[in-house]
Amino acid sequence: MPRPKHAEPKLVNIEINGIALQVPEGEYLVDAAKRVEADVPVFCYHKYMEAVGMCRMCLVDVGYKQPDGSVRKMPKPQASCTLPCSEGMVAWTETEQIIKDRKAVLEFLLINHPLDCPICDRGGECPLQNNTQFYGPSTSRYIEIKRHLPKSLPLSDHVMLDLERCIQCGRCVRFTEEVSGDAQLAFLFRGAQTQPHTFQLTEFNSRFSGNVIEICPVGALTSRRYRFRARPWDIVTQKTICTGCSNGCNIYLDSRGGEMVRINARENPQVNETWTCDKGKFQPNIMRAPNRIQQPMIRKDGALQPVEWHEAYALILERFQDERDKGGVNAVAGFAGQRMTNEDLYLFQKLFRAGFGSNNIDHRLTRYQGDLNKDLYTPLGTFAPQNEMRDLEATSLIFIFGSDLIDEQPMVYLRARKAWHRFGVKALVAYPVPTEAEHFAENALRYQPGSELALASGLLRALLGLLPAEKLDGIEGLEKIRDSVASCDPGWVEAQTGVAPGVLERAARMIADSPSMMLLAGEKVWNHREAQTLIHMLTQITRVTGNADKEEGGLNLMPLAANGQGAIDMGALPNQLPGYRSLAEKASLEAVWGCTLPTEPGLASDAMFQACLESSVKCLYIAGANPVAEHYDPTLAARAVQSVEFLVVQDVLMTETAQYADVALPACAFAEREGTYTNFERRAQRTWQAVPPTGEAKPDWRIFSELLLRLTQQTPAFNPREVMKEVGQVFPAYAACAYDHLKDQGVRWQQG
Amino acid sequence: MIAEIVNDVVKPIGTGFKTTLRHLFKPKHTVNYPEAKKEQFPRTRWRHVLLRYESGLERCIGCSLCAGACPVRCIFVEADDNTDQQRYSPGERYAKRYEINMLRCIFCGYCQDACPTGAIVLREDFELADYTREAFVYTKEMLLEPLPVQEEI
Amino acid sequence: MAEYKLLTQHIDVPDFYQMQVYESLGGYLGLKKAVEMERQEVIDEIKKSGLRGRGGAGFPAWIKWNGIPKDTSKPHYVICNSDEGEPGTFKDWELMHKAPHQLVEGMIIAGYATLAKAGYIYIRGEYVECAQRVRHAIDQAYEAGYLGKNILGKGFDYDLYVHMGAGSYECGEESALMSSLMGERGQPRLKFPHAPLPTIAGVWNCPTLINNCETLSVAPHVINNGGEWYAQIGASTKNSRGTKLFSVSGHVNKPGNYEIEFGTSLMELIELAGGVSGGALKAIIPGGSSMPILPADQCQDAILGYEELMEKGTMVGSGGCMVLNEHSCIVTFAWRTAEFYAHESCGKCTPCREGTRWMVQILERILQGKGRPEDIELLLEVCDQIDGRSFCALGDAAAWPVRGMIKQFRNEFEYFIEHGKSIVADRPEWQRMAPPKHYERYNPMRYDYTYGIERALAGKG
Repeated sequence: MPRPKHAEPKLVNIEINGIALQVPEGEYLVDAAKRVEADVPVFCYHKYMEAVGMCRMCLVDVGYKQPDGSVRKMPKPQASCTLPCSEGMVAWTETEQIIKDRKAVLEFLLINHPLDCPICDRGGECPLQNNTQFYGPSTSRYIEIKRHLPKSLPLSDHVMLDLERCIQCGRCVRFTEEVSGDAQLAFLFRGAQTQPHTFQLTEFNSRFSGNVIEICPVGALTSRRYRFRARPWDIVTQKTICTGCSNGCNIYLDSRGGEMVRINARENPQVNETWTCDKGKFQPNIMRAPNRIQQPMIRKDGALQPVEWHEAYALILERFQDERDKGGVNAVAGFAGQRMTNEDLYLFQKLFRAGFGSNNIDHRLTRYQGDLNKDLYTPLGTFAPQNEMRDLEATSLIFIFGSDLIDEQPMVYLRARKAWHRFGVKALVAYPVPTEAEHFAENALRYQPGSELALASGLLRALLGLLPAEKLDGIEGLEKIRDSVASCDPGWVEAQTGVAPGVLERAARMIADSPSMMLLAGEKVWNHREAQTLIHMLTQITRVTGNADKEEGGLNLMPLAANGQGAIDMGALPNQLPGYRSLAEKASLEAVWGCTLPTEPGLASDAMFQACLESSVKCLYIAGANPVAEHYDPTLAARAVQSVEFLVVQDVLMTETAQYADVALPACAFAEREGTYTNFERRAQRTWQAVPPTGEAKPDWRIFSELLLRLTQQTPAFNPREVMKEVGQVFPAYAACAYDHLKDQGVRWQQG
Repeated sequence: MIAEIVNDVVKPIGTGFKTTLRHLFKPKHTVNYPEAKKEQFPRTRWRHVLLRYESGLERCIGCSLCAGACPVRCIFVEADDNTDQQRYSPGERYAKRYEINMLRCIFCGYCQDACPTGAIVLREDFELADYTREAFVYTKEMLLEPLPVQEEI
Repeated sequence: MAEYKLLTQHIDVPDFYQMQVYESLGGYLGLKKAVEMERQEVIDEIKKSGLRGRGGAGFPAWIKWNGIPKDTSKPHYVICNSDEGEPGTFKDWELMHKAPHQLVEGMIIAGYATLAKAGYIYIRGEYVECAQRVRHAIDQAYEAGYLGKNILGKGFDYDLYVHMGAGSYECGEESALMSSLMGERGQPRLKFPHAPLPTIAGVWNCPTLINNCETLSVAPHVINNGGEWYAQIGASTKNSRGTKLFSVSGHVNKPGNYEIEFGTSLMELIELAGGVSGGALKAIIPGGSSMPILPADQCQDAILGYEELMEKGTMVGSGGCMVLNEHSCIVTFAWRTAEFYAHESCGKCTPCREGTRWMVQILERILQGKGRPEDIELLLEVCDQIDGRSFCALGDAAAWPVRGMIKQFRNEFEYFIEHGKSIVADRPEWQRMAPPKHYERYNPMRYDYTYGIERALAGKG
């Protein structure tokens, strides 16, 4: 059963250490004990995995209140990590016997533990060390020979296994079985010889292997990258957000002397629970990349020469204003990157709109460059993505359309898998080739690459036939929808997509029978040849199934890069102002900015690059993007940046695009500055500065702010906090995301 | 008058010279530093030394516990993997860099207490003066005990 | 108050495992009677009989039968636990090998009473001949229409399968058995109150009735003769009814399975088995190696019955009665027992995994003559730390015998530690019985040679 979204848990009365309290029924005693600050030590228990009660560390005395008021105590101590709370339960966590039992378990665990803490990477942040310190015996009575096993076996490029240190808690094995689902690790042998290892001693080949390092309560699984790099007391830990994809995983970035040494997951039950993907956890250290732009540079005599910041600013403004005055507002254009924060994006479009008076601004690298307002939000009557991550557990069907989820959105993959594994949510996958998500999907549609539109139309037609009439009653323009897909019968769909009619029928029936459906659309939709029609079709599927206005269902077009959603919110679009306003609604913006704004829509990215080729755009400003490598049509982008007269590139690295720059400006990497990112579920999350900037690099917002100051002579924003405050004025939904409200967990902005 | 002079001048001078005379024949407390040096107490805590095992392997395993215990944070340790070809210490880990900022060090000896292998000890060498600040950052090479001399047969 | 042959009545009849012979001696009458009754009546009959589980815990059988939901929204299963791993117990071997139809009939009755869809007979991996016989019996039952669709024309469908274990004592524990049956690692699962009872969510999360082989073999007799008739057998005891098979082994003249009525005295059972051989009696373990030991002076007035033996500080268990004569060495016996449990520990929970190995190491050191006086207290404490703290009963089973032996024969341990040799070491009788010297080399707890990973890695390179 899917987890109901707004269920009131039933409360039961229990008593822990003589303190009466109310907890939700079925909550594990170990969690309930935390509410009264009774510390129950654990090894095998993990909040986001099923409890097993293997380590016996969390034993407590338990009794039940009898109807006559007396308490019947259970004869044996019970593992509190697996004991669900029920009415009248009484627990004692600090009795003499329990303290003795904890000592005993720790003595057992330590008899075969090598105690090589000084050279163990876990030393200093090790649960076994901590628990021994608090609850353990001071000496061991064990004088026999310890178990000796191989040390430091590399399991993969990322993970090192030390069998001697293992305490067989099974967290890693359970993680690969339950959470990541690849079942790579298993226990070999039995009894005191039990050892976790990969099956057949193969390589540990998982996309989420880094998590086992973090959940290991001892130093048995350690990171090869962090190996001997630092000790816990050497490092500085900073909260931040991973910018690998649009999931916005909460992470801790640990640095030693300003050098990033590792990334750990930070708990956020809304987003990544406590997991990270290997791509994010073992991401290359961009801060120390060899090809970083260290200082502002201007092309002189065919080569980029280092200059002072003010020289670069002066040149940029001179050329941009010059060309605009000569060739009108369409002679200048700006391309924003999706790795930039909301503040950067906001100021970038403000620079172009208020500073240069041009709407030529875009951020899209995908083939779809239509008007989202018109194509998506108006028909749906809401902003998409409609759902948040937690809805995956509440919905009854997850329809993954044109997305290799594990690659594009690893955390969504994990959450969808959890929804299936834990709550029995069904899944349906449509992708040209087999993907990991098919392992738990009930039905998979494998179509010919590029035939997404035919498949969606065929599905829509089949759905219209299957859905009961009363469900379709209120749908506006139903006849028009019916007519548009009338020709898409299963035979035609099979010819177009290669999906057999039976398979299509089964998929349509699954959708029709589900009370709610979450549609997750990915890369294949954004980059479809007729993306606009395809998005329209998906919108109609969402509408006819009644999911457009359901809380636990809806259409989710997931952005492909870190702040793709933020770029839309901030109006880094040629035909849309911040806050989803059309160009006609510019009055309120003019009031805040104190200037007049252009009414002509600007050029979308394709048109922009085309105009560069035709020399109608003379000056191009590319900030935080690398279209030469990432644009869906790299040739077009490469030709455009080569042929444009004056190119400014502002980026962290000397990218393929930056090679052609006339002015190259160094920007701070994500951990060198602060700001906010909006993830795919519209959750604005804050980052903090973790390491000092490299060279003369400046945060993007500061560069834009300084340019704006020179252009408009208005008071510039001095810090991102102020920028966010201004965003709140322009786009009221973001007022809730001001820095004062953004705590560690972020805020999901709501419309209206 | 004369009695006054004797009392006030001659007598005190005589007393002073008496003390001088007495000490002239007693053993001397000062030494002729730097030609001669005084013997140090066995538990004197001065310059740090990184010890070796008899086999010549370094005792230090690069665990950084000394750095953690140091109240003034003057120790920096960077560890690395031992390999079978390049072995510095027994076990997996050794200190690739080991630096002590002697200007900061307060010679409290906590590092010695914290060391799990007894690698770092504070010895009696007290002549630590130097001309530049940089010279006070003692590297591992400076701190490490010299290799035991191979006995000639 | 003596031998009472109920299950083993016809066991010596040649070809009793064949359908015709079994039917000619009154077989399948119980089933025919049962299918005429209402399902609840069958359960009531079991309740009247006072039948208690023969696997070791002695839990009233009817409660389990009655606990199965009365609707079939989920399929129900019946499992027969024939994973007889307890050292000293071999009753199920005889029941399955010689009277497989009796078990099959019991399984069908249980399946009928609990609305089951299918039944599994989980047979210990080493019992190959038994599995052959049971499979043969199942085939014959299918032919005779006692199994399959529409059994005896009553519209009741039921299938029986034989599943062989892979050699793990732990899989005799009911939740580990179910894990093993489902193809998972043979490790115990959470039990009540941490998880629902198997009667609600057992194998594949469906209601499951799991009973010992002997318990299920009794069912046809209870139904055929009536619960009240069965309850009269062994009525002299407090709460134990019927007969029980005891596997008598060790220093007796005629080791073997003996079926007795509850209420028979322990010495009578030994007399049945031909009396103690090779010397005077030293001790008896009445219920299989995991039960505490009973020294000779306490054996004299011991009555076989669940509560009666409990008063003596031991238990009926699975009925593996081991007899030791005066020339046996208790320390060696304790070491061998501890070694068995260390070898069979599944490794899931800490106390059992680490504690059993530690116990073996201490006892081994004592056997090598390197014991310390404080080792006895240490052993007792390790036993206390395992007992009741482990995940399943295997930990308790490992701790009880060692603790029992130290309590009853502390002087032998003290003598061994003091003198570095056994109290019986100089007797020629003991030297004949002692384990061969090379035995130690195969001790699985020695890590210097059983090096799973390292061997595997060596093979890989």
